[in-house]
Amino acid sequence: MESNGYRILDSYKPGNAHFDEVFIDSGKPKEHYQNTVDHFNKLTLSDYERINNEVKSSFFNQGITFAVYAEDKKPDERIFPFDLFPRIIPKDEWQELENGVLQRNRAINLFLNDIYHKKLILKDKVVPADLIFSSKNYLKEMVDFTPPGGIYTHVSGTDLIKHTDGKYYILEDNLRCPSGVSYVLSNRLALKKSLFDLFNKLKAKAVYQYPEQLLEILKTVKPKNVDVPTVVVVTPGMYNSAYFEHSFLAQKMGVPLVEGRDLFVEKNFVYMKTIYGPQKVDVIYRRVDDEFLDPMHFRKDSMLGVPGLMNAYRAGNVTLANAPGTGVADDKAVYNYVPDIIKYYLNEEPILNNVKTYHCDREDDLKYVLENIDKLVVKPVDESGGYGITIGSTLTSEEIDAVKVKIKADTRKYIAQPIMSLSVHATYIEDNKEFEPRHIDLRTFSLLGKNSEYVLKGGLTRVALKRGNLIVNSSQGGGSKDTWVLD
Amino acid sequence: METFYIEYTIENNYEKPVKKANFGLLILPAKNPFQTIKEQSMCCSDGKESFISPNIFGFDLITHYIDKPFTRFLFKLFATVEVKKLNPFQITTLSPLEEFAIITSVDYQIDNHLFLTSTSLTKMPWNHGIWFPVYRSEQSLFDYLLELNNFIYKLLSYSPQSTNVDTPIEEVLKIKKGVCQDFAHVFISVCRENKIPARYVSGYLIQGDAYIGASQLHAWVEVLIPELGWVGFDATNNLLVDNNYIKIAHGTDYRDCSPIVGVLETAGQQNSKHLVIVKNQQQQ
Repeated sequence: MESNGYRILDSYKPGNAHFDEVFIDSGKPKEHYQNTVDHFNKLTLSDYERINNEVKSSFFNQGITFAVYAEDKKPDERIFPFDLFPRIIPKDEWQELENGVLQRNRAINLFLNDIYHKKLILKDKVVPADLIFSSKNYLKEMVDFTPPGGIYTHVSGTDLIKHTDGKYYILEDNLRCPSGVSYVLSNRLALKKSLFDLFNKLKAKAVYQYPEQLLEILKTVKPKNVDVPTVVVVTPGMYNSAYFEHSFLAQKMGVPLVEGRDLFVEKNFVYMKTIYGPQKVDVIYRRVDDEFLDPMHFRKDSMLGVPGLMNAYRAGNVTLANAPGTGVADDKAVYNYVPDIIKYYLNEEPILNNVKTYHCDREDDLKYVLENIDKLVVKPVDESGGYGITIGSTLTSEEIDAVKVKIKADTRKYIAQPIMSLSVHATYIEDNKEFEPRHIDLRTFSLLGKNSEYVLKGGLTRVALKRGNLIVNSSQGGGSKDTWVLD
Repeated sequence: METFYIEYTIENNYEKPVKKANFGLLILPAKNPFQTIKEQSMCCSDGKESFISPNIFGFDLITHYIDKPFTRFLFKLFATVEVKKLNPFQITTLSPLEEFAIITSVDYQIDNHLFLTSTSLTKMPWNHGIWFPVYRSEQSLFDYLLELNNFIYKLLSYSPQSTNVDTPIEEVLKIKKGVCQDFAHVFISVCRENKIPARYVSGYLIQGDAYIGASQLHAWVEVLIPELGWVGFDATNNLLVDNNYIKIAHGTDYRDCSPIVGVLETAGQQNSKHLVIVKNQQQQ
């Protein structure tokens, strides 16, 4: 380890136009990054690259890959790109973030319960009734049905960004079994080995408890009259892009990983086929989308589901996590109302900010969007993974016209937001052999059970590896960083 | 009080053995203040006892899970049902204007949203070119619905096999032909366009009295009328629903009321036979 007075982070130029997470100025890190910057500055670039590669090969050996889908192409299997330089969040900053995420989850859960029962928030015209009833994710199968413990969103992934003003903004809620937590846990495992001294010095909060906490939460919502519940993870199968995560979580929780075809329903009870004969299943952490869950109720052609599952669920003999029909609340058109939803149910001010959102279904908003498309990000309300997003500032005038046509054809389907400046973080760029600012966001993972809640301390920091790119989703070529919450 | 004898048979034959199957049958007469089931028995070719549990609208759903290979599925239901005589011409004390105000109120629209939201089978095309009667505050809802019943009865001609269970309204309005579920779907769709809650009903209809559609399961519509509750209209026959109709279930459209839903593991073709017998007890 020969440094010759050259320090690898000295040449880093902070992203002046954006909020830089690490540096105040060239060579001058923020207080909570001082130890980390000092640590890296003791290394040479080749040391850094070597450690970075060690971590990457450990991912490869663990089989941590994901698949990218493109039209007319076979899915492309990739290793999740990773950067060794951890994102660090100071204690107080984290606490506020955690409080904000929990507040949001509580309110959204009450909202779901309300719109599937008394619908008071709609009658009070806080949220437009049409917006809810026209959503394809609003399920009649859930009307007047109360899931065990009144819990709908057992697992939530909340996407946040830090804007130029240094404040966190919620980008979106993911309430349909969000992915990514397995990367958080494997990132940490790899990083702890490679940056052992630094990690010990900083005492970042642990994340390994997550699977244990998830299992506990799932057990709190077991069906009535069940003493020790049998919990399983249901995956669509090995061709699903998040299959690694499904198997990872099942293994860490110590519960069976099954596919729909391994289960059957008889007399409204769900059974798993085992070599010892059928075994009753009580709680299902399902990673299969609503429309594929039960071909007797939803898509008839679904091979991924279990026929009769919805009736067993409605009979109270099995619990599904997350509950079906939660997608109506993470619809990007409903997102706009979440601050009002928080005030309505909790009588509290929202702790975390929402990004200003224009809903193309509203006449005034539509007019504004069509006139200002070059300054806006346009997103379909019901897609995830960064698909279908257009960023106005990057479009040619022909492309802008094409987006306008698309919006006008289905106004309910699109929202628009100002182009937010995601904060930047020093990230090692292999091609240039230096550290450069790259945009990052954060997905937190939180759990809600009967009388219990939990937020994973940290989360998945996603980084847009292409210079200037604002879309951080892994399916769009993004990478990740470990996220350290300080004690 | 009238007593009806009902027999329902379904027989499915499969070209290749079915390895595994789930069946859901929605064919049992509903229990409600107007109809009482006196006797009921059923048998299934799997030799197992039927399992009955409520479907999402609370109607009795029969389910069978079969995990042994078979090439024939046979199910029979026998039931005796007592139906109260009722006068379908009920009178409301509300003025048309009062009625209109209730129906168009926000709370009423929200409380009945399931039967106001269009579904893929009840979606009205925008360019159908037909001048359906429009509901206005000057007319009582009941009178409007009689007019609509008559209008649809005259608009469409009853024609077996002209459509199937997935035919959208757009197609029905184009060919102006259909079977009872098409009459019902069009009726529901016009109601929902006029913000009137309407639901799809499946059931049995007395045979031998020249009703159209009685040889198979029948379909009609129930509309929510303030003060009166849900009132049945049968556009296929241009009639109001009375004690010759035995209800099985209701839902947002046909899909909530399909008499049989099966999810099967099989490669081959199937052919299906249904037999419905509905008799007044005296006729036996």
